Amino acid sequence: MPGLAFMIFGALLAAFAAGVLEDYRAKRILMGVTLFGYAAAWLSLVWGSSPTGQSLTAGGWPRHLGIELVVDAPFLAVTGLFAAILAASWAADQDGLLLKGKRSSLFLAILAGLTVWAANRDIFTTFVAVELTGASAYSLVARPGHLASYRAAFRYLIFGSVGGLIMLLGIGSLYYQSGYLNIVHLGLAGAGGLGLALVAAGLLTKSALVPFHTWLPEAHSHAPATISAILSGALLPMGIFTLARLVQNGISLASGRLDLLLVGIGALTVLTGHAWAGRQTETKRLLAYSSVAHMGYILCGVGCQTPAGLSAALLHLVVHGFSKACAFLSVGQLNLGGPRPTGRPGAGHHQPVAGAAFTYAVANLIGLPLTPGFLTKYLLTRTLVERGWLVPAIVLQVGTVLAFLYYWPLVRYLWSPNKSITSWACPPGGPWLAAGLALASLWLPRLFSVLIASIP
Amino acid sequence: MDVLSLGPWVGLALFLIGLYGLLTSREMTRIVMNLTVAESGVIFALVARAGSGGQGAPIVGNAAGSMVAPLPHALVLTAIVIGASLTALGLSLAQGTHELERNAGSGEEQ
Amino acid sequence: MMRSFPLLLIAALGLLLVFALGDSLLTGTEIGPVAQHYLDNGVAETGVYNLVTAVLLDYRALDTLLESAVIFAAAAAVWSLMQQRRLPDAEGGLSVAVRTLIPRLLPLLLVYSVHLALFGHLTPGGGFQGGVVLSVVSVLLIAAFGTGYEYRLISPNTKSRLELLGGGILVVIALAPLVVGAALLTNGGAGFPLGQPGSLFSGGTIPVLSLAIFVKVAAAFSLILYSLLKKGS
Repeated sequence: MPGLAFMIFGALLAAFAAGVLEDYRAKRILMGVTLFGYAAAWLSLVWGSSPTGQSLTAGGWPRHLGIELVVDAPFLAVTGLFAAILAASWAADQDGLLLKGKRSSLFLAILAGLTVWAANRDIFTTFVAVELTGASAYSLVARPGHLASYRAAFRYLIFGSVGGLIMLLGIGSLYYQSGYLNIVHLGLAGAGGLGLALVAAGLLTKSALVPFHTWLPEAHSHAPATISAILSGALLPMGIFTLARLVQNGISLASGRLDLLLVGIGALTVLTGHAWAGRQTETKRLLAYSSVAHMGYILCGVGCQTPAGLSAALLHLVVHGFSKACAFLSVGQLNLGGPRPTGRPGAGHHQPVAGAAFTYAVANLIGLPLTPGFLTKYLLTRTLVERGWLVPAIVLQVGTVLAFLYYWPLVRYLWSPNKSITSWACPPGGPWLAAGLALASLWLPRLFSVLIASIP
Repeated sequence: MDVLSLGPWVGLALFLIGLYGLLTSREMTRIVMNLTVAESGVIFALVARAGSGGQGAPIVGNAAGSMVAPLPHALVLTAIVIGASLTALGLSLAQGTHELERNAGSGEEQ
Repeated sequence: MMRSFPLLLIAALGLLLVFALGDSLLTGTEIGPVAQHYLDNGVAETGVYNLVTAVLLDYRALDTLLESAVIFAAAAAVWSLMQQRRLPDAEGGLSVAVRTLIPRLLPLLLVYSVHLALFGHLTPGGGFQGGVVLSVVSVLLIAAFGTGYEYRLISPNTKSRLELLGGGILVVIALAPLVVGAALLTNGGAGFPLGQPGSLFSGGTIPVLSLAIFVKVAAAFSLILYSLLKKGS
């Protein structure tokens, strides 16, 4: 699989090379070429992929001695997502914020780090990849001369580092329980217990699950829109991605119900994220809290610990990644970023493409029928119901209603024909529409069940 | 009793002390320093557990008797380097924030 | 109550951690199967005496490459954050005593750092340790003669190029085994000569990786230190 090596080391080498470049145009071209090469290598892997996945160990060792890298369907799904989001951010970076200083190196280092994060099956390499993406991401949040963004970046760094330390303690526990670092071997050796709980706490801090979410709204709302897109769409869900890999390989708590714990945290996060998103007066903060809520959805799927739940979680991860990145980028484009009343009503008419992109992204994030977001939320709900967990399933539906309530005024404002409108109040029909949507989400799946049944 | 077997406990205590400092500090440089203390604790715990007293360094030809496990040492070296990098990053963010605050303060006075 | 809240929280966390780690991280001395394999077969499989180096630069070389990328990212980040600061400060420096002493210390540090990197596969040491010692030279120069002097001696641009040089060598060595169809970062298995264990030229790619990391780490850390120490505007 030379494609995987080129994805990792192509991005790394480009990051090193971008460090010596001064000229903005040269940096921009280098980033573009790297992303293009990354996408080409990705396509070559998709072309030659097998349903069971392919494995290689760096250094050619048996997998428990070296570091195992795996190309399988989840890897291809998330790396495709990374390539698309980073390419979109690169293209949307009109004011050159990604090119100032050595930020282009950091951008490319994130790509390399995320790729290793998605590919490896070694618990310690995961830690190193987590810290590589972290070290690159923390300072990208800080905008030159912008005090609040520096404070947000610092907070992000502290939370991220403490999460990393707790994860490292957990890794130490797992290693000394079994003597292995490879995830498959850890599972076979029966490692887990509270060591897993520590690793999970670290990973969930990185993914901003309640109660470890408090760093996220600051970081994602003060960062430049292009960075917020990468952080929310690509970086954020990777903690849960690794947790899913651990759970999949049979690493579990010695006693107690891991599944219930994860689904509980997930459902709590869904409610908290949506509730806080609805109280925000700034579009980017609203989107940031919505990211918190969506991490809850993904964790609910992982918590089911069934193949259907894991694949639903993965699908939701991808759909959320695309939609949230799209939403952040179009918010930057539409200048909706400021406090609501100062935003420009009817901006959608002036920039119809960005307006349409934002609207479609929001439709996905709410989970309106006929969108991919609806499908993934339905699959998640179905898995929860199949496991007999009705309360979290209902929480997911309540979340949909809440999301509709807070996104609707935004979209209405965006397309408002009357430019004198400065109020962001929910329109009188809003609650009724939301109730209708909730009803629809109950019976529409039956209608599409034939179609959905063909999806694993 | 082997003194080295106390190592992981000492490391855990350092980690907790660092966390306590993190929770109670307001000043950014202090926060970064407390983070460093907590990190040293984790690293100390990991590496102290790798062997017991009387064992030699994992270098062939150096030690006559048994050697400590080399893998934790390699992991810990990686973790130390990562920690140092993050400390530098935290300090520069603290310094940047401080300078911006000072500029904002002097701007208000004028 | 509010004042003792952090203490209570930490106490609770401490109890939880003792409970969680009591039978794994906190007690016991057994060596796991992987580490035992390294102890038993490390020299035969990698050709180096220092088994920590064998793990770092052969068995788990990918970790080490990523780790050098972390330092690189931190250096790039610190540089970007401190960029709006004014460039070199001509003044600075300490007393005559320091200015006389430090130039005499520098050759010692240089030799020591190169030794650490060059003999890292035989004796305690390695590219990282050597690189950090070398970057201390930067600090001493800045302390004695000010940032301006250090800037003229070896500019941040040169350091960035050195980082690229070290990183480039790492990436080339990582990808070279693909030519013969081996997995990335393969050492002995891809035909690199492991040599006679214990001699300077042993361990295949390990000494080369070590030197590349030495250059890269030294450049990155001195870039970080320079960015942090230069005068604010």
